[in-house]
Amino acid sequence: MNKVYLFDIKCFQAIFLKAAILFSFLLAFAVFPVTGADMACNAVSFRTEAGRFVMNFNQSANPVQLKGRVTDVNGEPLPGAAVYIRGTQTGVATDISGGFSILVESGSILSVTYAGFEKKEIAVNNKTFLVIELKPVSSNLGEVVVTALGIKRQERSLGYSTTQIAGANLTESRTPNLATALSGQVAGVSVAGTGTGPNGSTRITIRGNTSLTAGKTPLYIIDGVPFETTNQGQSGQYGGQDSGDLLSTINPDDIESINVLKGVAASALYGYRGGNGVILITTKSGSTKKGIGIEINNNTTMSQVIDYRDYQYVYGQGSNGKKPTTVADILNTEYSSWGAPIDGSMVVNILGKQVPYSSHKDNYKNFYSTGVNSQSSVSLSGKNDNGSFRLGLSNANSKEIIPLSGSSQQGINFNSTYNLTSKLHLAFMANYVNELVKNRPSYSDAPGSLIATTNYLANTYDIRSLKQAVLPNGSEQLPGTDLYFDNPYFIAHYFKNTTERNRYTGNITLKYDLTNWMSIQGQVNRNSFTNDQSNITPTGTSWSPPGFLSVSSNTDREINASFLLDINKKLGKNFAIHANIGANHQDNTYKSAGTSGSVNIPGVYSVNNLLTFPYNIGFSESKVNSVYAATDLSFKNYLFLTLTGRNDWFSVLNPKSDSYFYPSVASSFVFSDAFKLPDWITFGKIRASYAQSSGAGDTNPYQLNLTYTNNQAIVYNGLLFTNINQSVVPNQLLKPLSISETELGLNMAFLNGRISIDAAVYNKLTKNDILNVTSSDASGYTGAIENVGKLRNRGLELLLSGYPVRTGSFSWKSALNFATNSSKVLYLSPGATNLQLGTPARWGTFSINQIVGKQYGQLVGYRYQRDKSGNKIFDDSGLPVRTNDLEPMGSGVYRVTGGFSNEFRYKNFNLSVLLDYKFGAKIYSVTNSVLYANGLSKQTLAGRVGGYIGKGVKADGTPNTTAVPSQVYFGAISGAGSATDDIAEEFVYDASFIKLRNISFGYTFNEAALKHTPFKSLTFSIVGRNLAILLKHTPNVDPESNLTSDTNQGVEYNAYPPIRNIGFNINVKF
Amino acid sequence: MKTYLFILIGSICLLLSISCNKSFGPLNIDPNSVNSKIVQYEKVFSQVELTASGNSDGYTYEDERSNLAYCSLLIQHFSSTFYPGDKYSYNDEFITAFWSRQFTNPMKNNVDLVINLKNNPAEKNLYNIGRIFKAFLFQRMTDLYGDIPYSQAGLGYSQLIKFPEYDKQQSIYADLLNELDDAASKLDVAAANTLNAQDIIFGGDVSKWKKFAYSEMARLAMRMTKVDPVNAQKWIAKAYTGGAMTLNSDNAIVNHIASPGVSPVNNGSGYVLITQDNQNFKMSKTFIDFFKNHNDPRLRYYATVTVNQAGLYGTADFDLGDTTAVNQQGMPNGLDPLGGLVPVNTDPAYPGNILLYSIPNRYLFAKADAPTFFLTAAETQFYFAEAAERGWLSGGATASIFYQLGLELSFSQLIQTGADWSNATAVASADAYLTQNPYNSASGIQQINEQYWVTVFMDEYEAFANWRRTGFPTLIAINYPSMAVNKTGGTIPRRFTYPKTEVSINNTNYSAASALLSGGDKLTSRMWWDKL
Repeated sequence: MNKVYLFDIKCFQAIFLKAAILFSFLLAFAVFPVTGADMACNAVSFRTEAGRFVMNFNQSANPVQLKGRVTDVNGEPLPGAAVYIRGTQTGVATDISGGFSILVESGSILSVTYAGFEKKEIAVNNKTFLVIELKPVSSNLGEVVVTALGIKRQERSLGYSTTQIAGANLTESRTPNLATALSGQVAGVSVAGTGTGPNGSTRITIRGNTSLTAGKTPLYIIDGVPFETTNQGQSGQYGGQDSGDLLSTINPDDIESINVLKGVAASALYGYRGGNGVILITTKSGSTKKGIGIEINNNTTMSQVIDYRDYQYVYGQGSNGKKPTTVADILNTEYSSWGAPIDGSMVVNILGKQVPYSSHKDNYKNFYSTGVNSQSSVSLSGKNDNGSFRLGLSNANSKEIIPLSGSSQQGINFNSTYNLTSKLHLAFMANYVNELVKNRPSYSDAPGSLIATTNYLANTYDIRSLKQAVLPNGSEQLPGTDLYFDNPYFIAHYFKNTTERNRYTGNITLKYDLTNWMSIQGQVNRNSFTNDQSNITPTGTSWSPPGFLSVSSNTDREINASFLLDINKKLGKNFAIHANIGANHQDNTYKSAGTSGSVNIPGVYSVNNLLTFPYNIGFSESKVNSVYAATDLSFKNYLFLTLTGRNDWFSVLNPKSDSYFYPSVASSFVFSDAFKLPDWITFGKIRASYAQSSGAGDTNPYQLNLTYTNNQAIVYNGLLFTNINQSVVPNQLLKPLSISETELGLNMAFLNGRISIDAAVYNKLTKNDILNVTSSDASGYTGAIENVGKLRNRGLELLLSGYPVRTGSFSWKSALNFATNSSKVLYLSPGATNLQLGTPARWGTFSINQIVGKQYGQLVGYRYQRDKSGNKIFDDSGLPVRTNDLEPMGSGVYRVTGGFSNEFRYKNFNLSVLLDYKFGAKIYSVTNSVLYANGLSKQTLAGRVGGYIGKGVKADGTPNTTAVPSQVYFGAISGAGSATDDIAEEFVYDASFIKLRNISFGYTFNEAALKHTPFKSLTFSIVGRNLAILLKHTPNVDPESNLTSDTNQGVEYNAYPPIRNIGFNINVKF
Repeated sequence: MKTYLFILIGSICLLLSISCNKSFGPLNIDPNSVNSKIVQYEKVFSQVELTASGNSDGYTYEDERSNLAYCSLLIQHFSSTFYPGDKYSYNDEFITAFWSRQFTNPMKNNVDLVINLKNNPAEKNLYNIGRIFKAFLFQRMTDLYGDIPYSQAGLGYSQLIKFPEYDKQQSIYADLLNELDDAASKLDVAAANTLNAQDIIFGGDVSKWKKFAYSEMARLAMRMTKVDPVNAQKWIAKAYTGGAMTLNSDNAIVNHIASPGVSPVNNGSGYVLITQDNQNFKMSKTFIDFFKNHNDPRLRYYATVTVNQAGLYGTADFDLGDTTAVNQQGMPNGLDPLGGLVPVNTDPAYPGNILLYSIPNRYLFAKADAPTFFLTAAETQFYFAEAAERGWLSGGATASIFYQLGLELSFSQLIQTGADWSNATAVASADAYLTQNPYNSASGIQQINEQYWVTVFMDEYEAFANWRRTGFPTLIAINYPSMAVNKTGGTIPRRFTYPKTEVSINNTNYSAASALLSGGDKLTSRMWWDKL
């Protein structure tokens, strides 16, 4: 039995020692900032305030002049390749014919790099001439990729599109949520920017939305374990917090790579779960070298609010053009900037003091602070003849821009493989993460939204005058008379909410090699999490004076047990077969418990101190059994055919119709190998596929029968109250929706991989979508569950990548990805042309609807009524008239998405820049609507004196000449006060944008420079995220401010202020 | 090789054993619910009664939107600078609230209960009580909207009718009256009480349900005075002889429990008022002036003035206010906040601060545990008074006797809401009031229905319906100067328009129904019994 490194005390001592050295090194740099550095072949010196650190590296004698040539596999010269002596700074670049000459010691090792090619290391061994052949890294040539169910296949054999992202792309400019880090990285993967801050949830859609109503997300698989990412609660029409999804519990430092299976053919082996695409995450495993390796990474950034507000500061607080003269006036006009011209004269404030009547543009700056985020991780990995392991530990803390709001996370990830015998292999993975988020803010409508107050407080109202927060009688110091317009300091300091998650993931696999071409494996995995939430509305809150507490806890657990038989055999000279047969048993359970109630003894927030606390208990269980098979036939390694099939049986469906079959067929043809092509074509492949699938989670348990439930919310004289459980008529014959997709693609590489193209077109059809077919309320039910909807997604994806410049010491790698998707609603239900998804915001007459023949998720509201020549029509009172009907005004889902990444390397410097862009969506900004009503929007400056005369005509066609006080006019458009004919058209903006998403600038000390340190490598980078917005059309708000991560895309309302992160990343390897 | 074969075969067997087992057993039965075979409909009926009071979601939904924000303002019990009913503006969500929540909560459960108990002799009384209560629920709905789905309503599950047809109000009325008649006659007073406390209105007292049925019959009968006097007379006579409510102890009341924060056991309207009244709901000038003009001692139980706006509900500073009659002042309807088109200070009697206008009394009505009245003895006596005045009750008492009885019940009924006078004082006060404001047969119908208006305070649906039928009290129509707000051209609405969801979803049936309305589906169109 071999020694298990993990429990070796000496090993731990060594780690501890090295960590201590690193710490002191970093401390020294922190105390004595480096003021300069010199580097020579044999020494690095740092100048610091304290003096000079010099590190010398000895060089032995007997150098030899070595000559050579660097070529590609075809013998073509590679000019500009870098030839280095490993462990030193000494290096040269190859000339035009690929030749080089360098002075070396005979025992040295040469290291040759050339962008786009694999690095090669070669021992000099007393030679004087060497021909060094480099292999292109172009993934098209024989690279092995991980596909569905973890089956490894040659990339060239794939008849569908997949994209791989290296984990390194996610670590430097990191975000708490993995999904946001994917923004702009993969063609066809759209990450909806939700306006719910760093701890909020996200929405990823791959190739468009596949269901008309369900908020489907891709299936996440981490090391073979399906990973639940359900949103844990978000704000709605009446406000509330976004409790996030679980993607934040994945530590990017543990990620080796991410494979995005975009098309249905790629994910067909996941059966019913594969329809929305699959994100396969592979975590780092034990090192490839023998012995122990340690890696330490720290990422520290500061976050600051990007203030997009562009308010008017001409007229101040007040109403009707008058400035407030008494404290009562201040209270009555807390969010009304309809006062007198701002003149700096002395007026009273809320505290009764005389203050200048002048603008307070800095309310944001005065309220929000600088956030600090720090994440550290340490990993320990090792390998010996029989196995390998990696242990990753991480610790992250962040302090948000909102006072007393922040998060912390600790995680441990363990990955190991062990060969029990030469044929029996064991793999084990375990992961535990604890995450605690404190004081998530509320969005959307009041109550409890401090963001609302910072947005709408009158422009001459100093937010700092609210710092007292609590009045002597214990109640909230309100900014004014509106009970639902809270004091932001009161919310920040006294409202408390916590969400604590514990996630446990484990996977154990035993694989037995039956022959050298056949193996069988059994796997059991489990993923579960608990989510504990508590929410305190403190005693003294204006709209809930006694105080209120709610607590809840839910546990989600999935267990899978599976078998997989793998056959991989050459058949004769030209044919090969790779086949798999497997089966899976999936078991999900969900449990929840919670209670809430008003506080009895003021200020004591314990369940035992609630006046009444009925418990709500939730439970559901479901199972899916599956069998599947895949076969991959190849001919001469250039023509491939893959067939897969999977059958799923569902416990949640009627036993008479609970079995569904999901097939796929895919083919790939590497024509560059089959035919003789011009030299400049390095690689060429066409691919085609067809597959069927479904969407996970669209058939929930207990949807088939009508049931009754005892209503726990009613606490009434000890009686039990019972009512019909469903508001939607259940359906005995419910089945999963069906998704089918056809995909064609092309991969080409030119000029030795200097330019490559990956293109795909697809047509994806969703049928039998499960809709809640809205019925008349008079039926007693709001709808009926039926398999009716049809939806089509069509699109094009393009990835253009290459090396505009590639020399030995300098390279520029550039990749432009572009995707367009058209998502058209084909059919809803008999006679229905319109399906309302939701009214995510309370303000305004507005909803998001699916409309037959239109793009997915139309924003629907009133427009201006216009005459035939397009003039707005005004009524006798001078106010604009709205259309009679609610009208669609465009989709809230982007049609064009993509990114442009650039990576520059010069010697040891590295600069990467990522731009991302989205076009073709609309957004309804409720915030801007409220800014109209409150007189903060610049548009409301019109007509402040003498009234506003709307440009347009009266009903009789004559020009409108009636002046309306601008306060009334803009209030009416916005829907303020009692007017409910708000004109949503005014607040629907083009949501297109281009953002400078990430920049990272780094320096890597190479081994030579670190020779006399404990380090093998040291990389330091300066990183920045969300640095600039290069294009936007939404005044005052960020276009990426969706209120929710569900299907209701395209509504913004009091989003988390957009933030920019700047900081550094240090990576050290021992 | 043998070993491999063994492992291979073994694995495949294992594979098949876990995957092809199609029997998931009882996995898909929700352990937290019960099915129709074991459900106890007594408990369902409790839910029907409670949610009928208008706070079906616990968030005061239809109470705030339909009862208060429209009906109470249209009928000028209240005035508001904020809510749409004050100026006859249109808010679909508010207009729809009663329809969308009552159909999908109490009416749905009630329809289901009646269907499932029809052939269950053991539940005969609950079945018939269910029919009676169902009649009441549909009466309120049709009186608000006109022709509505009735015979096909609530059948989304049992008959899979997603888009019910609308029945004509005339036929709904005919059927409701027959149902009441039949169900009341089939109630078995001698049978054992299976409901008991689970009936939160009458504690399972079948004789009281019988009275309820006949009082409801009286309500329906009198609603038809303008359009079908023959049947009105026939049914009011039947209600009288059948035995309707005569005592306040007969009143159909749901008692609420004050639960801080949102809760379905709160009185939804009362909860809205305490949390919003000194902001958004004022006593209407029309209403306060009526009390003052008649020197009505009930004023102090209806109104209050609070000046301490910081004293919020639930805090120690919460101000119940000053209920002294002389200090009460109603706010005229049709006003805006300061800065609006018709600012509140255009009231010639503007007290200088909007807080100085009276608000609903916080000791009685504006509270979370104020009872909800569905139907009362006082109302019943006023129906009989009017019928007698019309000469329809042969052999009964005179109109003035019924009027006096109604008035005494109306005064003493306040005790059930928390008034601090004794029954004797209340009755004496009513008699003194009658002495000051004697019944005059010539203006009898006006007097009766004005008192009706005062009595059904907080049951604003009923106040609105009775005003439309009788024209009393005389209200002041508001003609707000912005057409964007004022949707009726200054006419007080005569009904609620159909929900926008009906237009888009149940269009065929909606179109057929709205085509029958003269003037179309408008706030000002009149329903069948509301004949010009």
